[in-house]
Amino acid sequence: MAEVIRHTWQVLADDYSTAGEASASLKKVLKQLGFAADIIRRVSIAMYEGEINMVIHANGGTASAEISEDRITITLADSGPGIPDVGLAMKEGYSTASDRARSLGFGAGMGLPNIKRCSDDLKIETEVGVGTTLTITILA
Amino acid sequence: MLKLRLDEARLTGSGGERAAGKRVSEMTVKDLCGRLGWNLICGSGEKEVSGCYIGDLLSRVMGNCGESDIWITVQTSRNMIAVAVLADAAAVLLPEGIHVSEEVIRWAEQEDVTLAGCGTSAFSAAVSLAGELGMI
Repeated sequence: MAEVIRHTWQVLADDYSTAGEASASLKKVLKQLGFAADIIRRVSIAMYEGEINMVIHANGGTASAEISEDRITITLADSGPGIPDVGLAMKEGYSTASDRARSLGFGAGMGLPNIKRCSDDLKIETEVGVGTTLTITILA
Repeated sequence: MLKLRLDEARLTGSGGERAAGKRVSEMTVKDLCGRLGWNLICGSGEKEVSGCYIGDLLSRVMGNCGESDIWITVQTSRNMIAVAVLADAAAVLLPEGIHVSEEVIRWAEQEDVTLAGCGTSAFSAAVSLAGELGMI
């Protein structure tokens, strides 16, 4: 696989029913390209957690993936409220999810920690009132 | 005494010989449905089973449910199907006779997720499963 493959998905605000379609779609692409099962699992989980974060907290956003032979880079960009305290948001169990999100099984406070665990590198750029961009790198 | 935390409990098979002579690695979801009286709701049930994870918080499931695990949950939304796909669970088992909608069943079929149901509690199902996998 010489060239870089790029995919982009729109993630809709408050649409829990379609959340996960971008992750499932990316998973299928990676399977077709023959990536190892462990890599596919880590990418899928990181992507899904990012999607859900955008659905719950950020009025939706854009998820994109760049796939090359040696790495997968996921960018999750939103124009949501931003994260006031990244350190707190990274803490396992801390959540500001709504009751509705919790009733659907979300809001465990494991989103960003799971993304970090699945990543080889995680960059969080956030500004309150402007938005958040996560850049997740997973080495193949 | 066997203790399981129902929010987060995982059992993993050791790969040893079972009493019935079938190796753990060869036990499929369909085999288990037949042996334990679980209702195969949809899916082929052909994936092999090596363990079990019980939990309803989806991020915890994604972080901890292993490939080839039976995931026991009371969640019945489409998000449950998405998580089962991403976690590569062998099947989702709904305990306590929990009903799942036709829409979610169609979604599971589309995503090739095996759904099963049982009338017992998650604890009882996990203990029975552990017995079948030769773990207790």
